[in-house]
Amino acid sequence: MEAITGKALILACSAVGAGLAMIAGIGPGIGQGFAAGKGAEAVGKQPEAQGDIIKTMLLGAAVAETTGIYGLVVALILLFANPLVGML
Amino acid sequence: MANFVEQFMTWLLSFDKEALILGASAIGAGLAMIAGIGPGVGQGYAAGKAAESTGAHPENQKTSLMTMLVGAGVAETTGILSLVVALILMFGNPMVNQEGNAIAIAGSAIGVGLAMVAGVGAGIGCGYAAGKAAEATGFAPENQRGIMMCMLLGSAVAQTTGIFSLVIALIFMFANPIAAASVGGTPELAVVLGLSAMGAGACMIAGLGSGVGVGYAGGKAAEAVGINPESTSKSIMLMLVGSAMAQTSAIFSLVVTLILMYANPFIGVDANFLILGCSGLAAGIAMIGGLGPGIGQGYAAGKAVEGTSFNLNASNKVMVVMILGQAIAQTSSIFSLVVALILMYANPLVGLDSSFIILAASALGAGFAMIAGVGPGIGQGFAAGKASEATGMRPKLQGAVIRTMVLGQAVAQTTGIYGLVIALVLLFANPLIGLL
Repeated sequence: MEAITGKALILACSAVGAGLAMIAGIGPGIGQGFAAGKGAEAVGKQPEAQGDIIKTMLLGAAVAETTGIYGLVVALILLFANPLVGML
Repeated sequence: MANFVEQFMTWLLSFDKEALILGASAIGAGLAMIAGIGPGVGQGYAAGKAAESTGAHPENQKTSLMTMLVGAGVAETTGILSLVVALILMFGNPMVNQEGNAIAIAGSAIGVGLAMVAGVGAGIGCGYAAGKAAEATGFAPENQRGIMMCMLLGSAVAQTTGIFSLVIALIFMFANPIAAASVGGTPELAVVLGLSAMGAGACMIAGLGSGVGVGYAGGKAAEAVGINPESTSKSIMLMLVGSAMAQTSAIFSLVVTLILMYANPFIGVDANFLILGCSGLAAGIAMIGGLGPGIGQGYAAGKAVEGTSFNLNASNKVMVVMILGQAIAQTSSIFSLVVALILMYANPLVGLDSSFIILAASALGAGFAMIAGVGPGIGQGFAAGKASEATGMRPKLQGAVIRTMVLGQAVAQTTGIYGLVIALVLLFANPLIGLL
């Protein structure tokens, strides 16, 4: 078995880190689903307001998406623009 | 210079076989007891609901208390199963006498503990059903029979995943196929098998979701029967159909666990053992994403029961919305299954020429990324539940309700897709290899 260089160790840890970062996706998934549920409930009560309901739901869901995107950005940086190997 | 993986293995192998297995058994016993979270939460909820119900209807205190105690007794099951497993590991440890490599058997002992964690779900779910049933018998003691029936039926289905986990734990303890596969093999093979055993145990944790979800559906059915006894047959039918859907991801997990135990695809593969072992562990970790669909689909089943109880004539329309919504909520556990199958049967990492530690870590990273599927599963299930409820109240608006639900569910899927993309990048287009 070959020796593990410092660079290889950093890159290996980056792979694990990128995976762990994606766990953040749990939050937006639950939150946006809640919004979708409440949206469907509201359309059931006031179908004439469907357009406004969907607009509000999507706006709120977009805000809820942010932390999932942060996780994605960190994972992408670790994978494609890893700043850590350069510091070695 | 030997690298840390070799040093760690040499260090592990410097112990007696018995010491290694008994040490891992201690960790396994501790992990198994985590299941106690479930009965604690569930029975606390049941106690709260019974107290609330006694405040509102003091004249029905005895009926409601009795219902709560029966339900809480059922909710205790997984806690006791875990206790039994822990006591076996401590006082009658059958694993020290297993034939095979110590590392493979030690991994199995940790797998036992991980598998039993799934009991959290049945504890919470059955406790919820007990609480709802206690509440319903408080305001409608005359319907106690139907209420109890729904509670017990729902609780029995909710226990399934806890029993699956117990079976896996017993196989590891008394007829361990992982230990048998390591007999006469190299220490490297034992590491692959030991990590696969831990993956198999972790995989079973997904059953936690079905336990919570199905228990919720049972509780909602008990409530519906209390409010409207005429809805009994339709409530039970919807509860069981919805609960069957909610079991899907637990069954996916059981299949992956059994593959890792009995048909381990990594045996005999000519590649670095750490890449293979971590792929086995990662396949199990990826399946934990199925926890979300289990909870969400169970919620949808419960809300569909509630929606139907308002309007018995709408039951078909409600069921269509429930099943459609549940099918969408299944997506993330299917993503998890795909990644697990890639890791096991079409692993692109084993053929790559790079440092083994990067490839092994990439497999683990891909597994972790799939845990993101928990969120979309829960959220989409919530949407399916609310849409089912709305369809029950206003069946004429089924189309508009479905459109809103599907649109919202599509948005809720995004973060699960991000997780899948990162996992696929790590597996098939790994940019880290080029950086070395």
